[in-house]
Amino acid sequence: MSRPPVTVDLAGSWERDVLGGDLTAVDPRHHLPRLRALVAAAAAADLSLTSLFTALERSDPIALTDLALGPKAPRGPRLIEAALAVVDTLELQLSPGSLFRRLVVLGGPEAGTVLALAAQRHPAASWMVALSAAARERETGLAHLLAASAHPAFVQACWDHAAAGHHDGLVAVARTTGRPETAAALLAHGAIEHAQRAAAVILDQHADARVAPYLVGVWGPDLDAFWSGVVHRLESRGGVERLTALCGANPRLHALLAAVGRGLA
Amino acid sequence: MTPAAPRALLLGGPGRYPFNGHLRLSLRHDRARLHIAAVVASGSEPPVAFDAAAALRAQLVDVSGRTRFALLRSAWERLSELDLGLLGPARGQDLGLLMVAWDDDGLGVAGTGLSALHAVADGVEPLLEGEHPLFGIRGIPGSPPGVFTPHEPPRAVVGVPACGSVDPGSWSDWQRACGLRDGGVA
Repeated sequence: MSRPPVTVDLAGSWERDVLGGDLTAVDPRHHLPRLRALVAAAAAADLSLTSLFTALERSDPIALTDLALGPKAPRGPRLIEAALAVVDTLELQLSPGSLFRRLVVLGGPEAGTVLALAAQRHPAASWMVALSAAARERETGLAHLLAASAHPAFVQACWDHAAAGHHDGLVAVARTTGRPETAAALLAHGAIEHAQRAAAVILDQHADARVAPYLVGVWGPDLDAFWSGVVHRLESRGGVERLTALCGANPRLHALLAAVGRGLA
Repeated sequence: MTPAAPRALLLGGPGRYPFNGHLRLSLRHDRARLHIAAVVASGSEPPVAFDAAAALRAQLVDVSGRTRFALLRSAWERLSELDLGLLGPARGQDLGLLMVAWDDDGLGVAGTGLSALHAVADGVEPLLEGEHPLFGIRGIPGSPPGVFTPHEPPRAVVGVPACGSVDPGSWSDWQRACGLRDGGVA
């Protein structure tokens, strides 16, 4: 025989006290079905769950984990807001990779917020690559790689995202950071056109970045064929000048660069 | 028509940046030609290795001579004048260098920091392996080492840097392993 559904009166005093974080009248394990129903109703009514989750964090982390991440956990922004407020405790209950994967599923449109926090907390984690894909980021890998850009794991992360096909994300990171490892990772994984786009934005927008040493390291010492696909992607005179300085004595490339440079004048 | 001079190629290393610190250079004087492939400071960060390779290139770009032997002698002389501080933290002790010189009378091969040579003809075959005076030298030698003069000039000579190993397989695998992207050897 199935249990009758728990009715929830969000205006009731027990409910208001619990949502306000007052758990004096609550035994979390005993009241778990009622708490689940309350959390679902409150999330549906766009009420904050943060005080409740914060109170449970201190009194019963296991019940908290059930309410925040269990099979009956509600979806949406209120759940994510409250869960991220107690993420330290949730990480003690569940492995970080599993935790953030579950939060991305529950977060729906809030997946980006989850992804940003995961990247900030775990920039070196290999599961960040799959999480970036699961979060349906527009330029997959961008949040993770930006968070990892000051971390020693950045280069490995570039390689992992390139292997996963997150090429647009790597170009976006190249544009934002000027890090040449982005273009090198793309090239190493055969994404030549994306590598050329990444190299072009680095040359255009990051005057101090040294992209050639990384590309030579991956491709070999003769970059002329690679550069010939970069020339028409340049959008600034600075980029043209910087590539001209890298092209040695190749007359065909210099003619191409001169033509592109005239078009940008 | 003069046959094309055999190219000098160097096998890449392991890891994320297999061609870190690699350079290739081709020079021509009258009817004599010199192809150079080198690697230096490959264990350093790419900008450091790149700068070391650029210093090496700058030193070799003015090499001149009217015969294969004169070109090789000129190259060694230029190298002996090089400020080793420009070659990265190991000051050139990690240099791998293959020089293939060619004139109407034949081929001359010289180098340093190599462990094997392979010849590209119809396939890729060992040209020199094991104990040979060409090998066992590290860094830039104090006096010009000997010149190896194969009787049958191959289309290319592939050098294996001293710390490298080799088993690339087919010729297209060799090309990839040497960072050759322009469609092969003339």
